[in-house]
Amino acid sequence: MKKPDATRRLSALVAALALAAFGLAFAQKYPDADALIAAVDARPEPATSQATLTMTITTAGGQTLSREMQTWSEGTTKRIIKFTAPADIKGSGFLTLTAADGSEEKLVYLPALDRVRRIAGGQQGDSFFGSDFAYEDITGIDQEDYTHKLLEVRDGPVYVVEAVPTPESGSSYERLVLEVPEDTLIPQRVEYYRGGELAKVLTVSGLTEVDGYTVAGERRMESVKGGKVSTFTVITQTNLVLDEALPADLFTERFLRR
Amino acid sequence: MRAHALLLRRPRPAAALHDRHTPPAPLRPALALVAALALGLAAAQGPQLSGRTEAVFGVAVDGSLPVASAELELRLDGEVGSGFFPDAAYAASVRAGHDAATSATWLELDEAHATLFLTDVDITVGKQRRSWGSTDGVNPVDVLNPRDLSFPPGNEKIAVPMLYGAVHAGDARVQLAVVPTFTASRLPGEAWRAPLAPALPPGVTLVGVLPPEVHEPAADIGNVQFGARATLAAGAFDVSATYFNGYRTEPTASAKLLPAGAPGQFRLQPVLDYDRMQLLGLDFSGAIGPVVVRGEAAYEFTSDPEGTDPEVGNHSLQAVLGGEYAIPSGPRVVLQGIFDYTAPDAGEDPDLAFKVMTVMTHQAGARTNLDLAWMQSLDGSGLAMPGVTYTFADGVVGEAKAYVFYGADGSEFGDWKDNSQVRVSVGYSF
Repeated sequence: MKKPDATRRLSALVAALALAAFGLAFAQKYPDADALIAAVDARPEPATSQATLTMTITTAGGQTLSREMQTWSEGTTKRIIKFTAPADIKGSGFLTLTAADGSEEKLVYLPALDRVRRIAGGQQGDSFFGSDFAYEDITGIDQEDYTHKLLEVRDGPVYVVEAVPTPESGSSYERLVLEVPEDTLIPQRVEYYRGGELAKVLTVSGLTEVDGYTVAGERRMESVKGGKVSTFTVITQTNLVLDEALPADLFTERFLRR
Repeated sequence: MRAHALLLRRPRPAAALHDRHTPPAPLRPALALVAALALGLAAAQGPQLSGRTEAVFGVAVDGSLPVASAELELRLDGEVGSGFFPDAAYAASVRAGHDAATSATWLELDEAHATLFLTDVDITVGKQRRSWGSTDGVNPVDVLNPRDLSFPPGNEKIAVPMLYGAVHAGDARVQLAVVPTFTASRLPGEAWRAPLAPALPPGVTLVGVLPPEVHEPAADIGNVQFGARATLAAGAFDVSATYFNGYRTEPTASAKLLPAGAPGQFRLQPVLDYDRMQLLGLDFSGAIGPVVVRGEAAYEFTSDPEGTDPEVGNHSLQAVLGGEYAIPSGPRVVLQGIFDYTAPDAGEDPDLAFKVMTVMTHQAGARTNLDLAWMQSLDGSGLAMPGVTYTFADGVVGEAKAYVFYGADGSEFGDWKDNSQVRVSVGYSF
């Protein structure tokens, strides 16, 4: 009596898989990773943005440290960050300008020294002000610096894509695994690997529509050691203003000092 | 007379400590005016009050306690107008503290200034600090503010009354500064002074040392100091030229023998003079791939080019060249060479010195920063300053830092071996 049941179950499973595959074939809008990434890249981006970011770092002991900053950006080539809290780093600023040839100019302002310092590049993997985010996680991914491979398509559909940085990219990661929902085309989860092991996990949530753009309200980056989350940082974005013209001299040393 | 190197200069013999907490009399009305202006603006524009309190405790290798202090700083600042570039901004801060190790107590107006933002021009008037230069730690062109050398490795700037303007024109910027009155650097304490050992003529016996005779420039239109700095940026490079006409803020020391009454007996009269000088400087910074290179040089012209006047320092040059590299997932490293030249007294050889400075900083987690600054002189002496800072909570930072001097007696850093010490501090910013 068991055999017919088992056979039925197996048949049902095969049918379900076939249906799933059939359904997938029809639901999947992007046939491969390149098409998906092209669509991600083609997503409309605001010409300018202004936002208040609150960064909360939770240490291994469960205690928290917070940073509050104001950011302004123009396209992907100009970005300025000014810290507004806590008091010991208030006034510090960070300006990044990307030239047409891709080279970056990075300036840091430290009010205690009253000096704007040009700082060395090549530290993309360094921690962003003590958080679980690295500088390269903050500045975003230039898709041309990666080769992509579609690993699977899950219900949703959600595309699971492997991104391997090119040697020229300067990335500190060995590979990334991104989960990209088709409806938003915003990676909702990213796994970062170093040395063959999972190093960090990014989770993006709180998607909302602002001025016609889909934006993430919260990003949570977990550092993983030995398969367990050791520390994590949550960046919350508020007071978002998009596509508002910014003064021409905003991305300058003068404003960095203000 | 020869001048000193610009960083960690060995103090002149018998240098007098200035009153840390009392501004020169001619400045007091001006400071009061600036403070009143700042406070008046503050009352009208909803100012922000912030501050910091810090406790510092130190132990030297000889078992003495060089510092056991607590300080409170309160700061008021705000803006007039709104937008990215408001019409004006203002700030004022006061510092009060007590050091049980030295029995010093202070209450001082630190900064008090107001800035007017015009279209392409910023004008700041009041007591302020300004920084010029490109290199790290050692800045030959950074001469606008005197220094607090009571703890020489600290080398903190002292705010002074100044009229400061910056004109922005695309990738070019011109800065102008007028410092109407002279303020001397606070000189190192007794423990940091070299022993007084003048060469005496035959038959002369010293029977005492008189308090130093200090010749500070008077508050006079002829003693107004001024400087200009032009900067041009091109891509990831910038270069600046600096001119300054003013005074060295650290004295040139000389000594006279005064008859004490009995034949052959004399008292030593130290004399501290502040040299009028003109400075020409050039500095730059630029990114070459992952390395940032920085350079800075300044030549100081005094009124004694021949080196014949013992009360006036000689011409001098300081040049710094170095680079910074961030080791992936490791420390950020700065390596600099520092060259010092002082023109000779008549008939003597010039003073030449060369040091290498290494600075490493590493963020070892959300709470912990490690750093090491190390100066190594060619004469074999040096100073190593390893430190760690730890953030206990938002705004609460603790620091432990060692200052290790080494080298032979008479070498650049060796005379300060007994001043090697460890300092621990905890500060809260609010």
